Amino acid sequence: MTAASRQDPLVSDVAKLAVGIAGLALCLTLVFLGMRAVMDVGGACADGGPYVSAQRCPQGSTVALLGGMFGLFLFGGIAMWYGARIGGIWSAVPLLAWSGLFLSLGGNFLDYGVLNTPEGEGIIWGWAICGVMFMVMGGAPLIGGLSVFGAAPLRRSLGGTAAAGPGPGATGVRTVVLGPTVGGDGIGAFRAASATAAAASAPAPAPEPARRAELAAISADMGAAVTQALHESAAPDVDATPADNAFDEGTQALLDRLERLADLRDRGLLAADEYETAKETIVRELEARQ
Amino acid sequence: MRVRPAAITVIMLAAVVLGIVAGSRLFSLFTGG
Repeated sequence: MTAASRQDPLVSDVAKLAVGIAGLALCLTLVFLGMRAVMDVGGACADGGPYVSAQRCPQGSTVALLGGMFGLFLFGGIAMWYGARIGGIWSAVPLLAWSGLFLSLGGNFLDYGVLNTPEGEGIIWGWAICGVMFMVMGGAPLIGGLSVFGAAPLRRSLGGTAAAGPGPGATGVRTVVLGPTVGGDGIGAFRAASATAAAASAPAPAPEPARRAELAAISADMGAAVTQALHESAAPDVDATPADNAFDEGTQALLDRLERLADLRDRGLLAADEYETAKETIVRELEARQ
Repeated sequence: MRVRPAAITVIMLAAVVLGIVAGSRLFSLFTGG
């Protein structure tokens, strides 16, 4: 088992996210059970005021429903805040509460309105329609969200980096990075490191086409930038004036690559070890240029 | 101190289970059951 790396989230942030997630689950449960209690007495009830209600609310259902609904906002805010601090897939995980809420309540509607209707009654269409609508409201964002985020960030967040073993995507980046044929000692070292990593991870299934294409584009960008940087360091620009104190084009391109790599890592598209390997190569090139 | 990504998944799943159990108990408390 490997130790946690510097990119891994802090315990305090994880603990606060866990509080938010547990609170969301608690409030969803309260709303779910409170709704069932009200549906048990016909689906409508009233308490308080100067009038005598024909159907009083079951004991505790009012507190459960109101507390649960307001609690969803409170704990949803906490979970979103600390999920965003941790980053990656965790910034989106609290949004599952939306689907959880509507799917569970839609399930209640369908349960009472279609599957287990009161004795002597057929389908209760009011509840059945609400049930279908709630299912769509909960299910559509869930399916849409999964298709947008895809499986790669989820796999990386769930599987970690080295300890859980390389996934297909992780192997893909190494395979693709090996592709560009550019010269230089830095690239040679990068190739050697990548080859070692690829050998350690083989055999593995082929990466999915979309991710492979994205990684190929990144790899081509990196290869072009490093080649350009090497070319410029071999033949310095004699026309440069002393006023040109800013980074030259090649150095700037390398720095841009570093930023892009960090962005990809933050979005969960690059594993920590892949990022470190690529970063080391770029840093070596930058040092060589100095 | 830092937490590995795989451990976060386990912690969050535990948080969900804990939340559901706590919510059920709390509801029983409200209803006096």
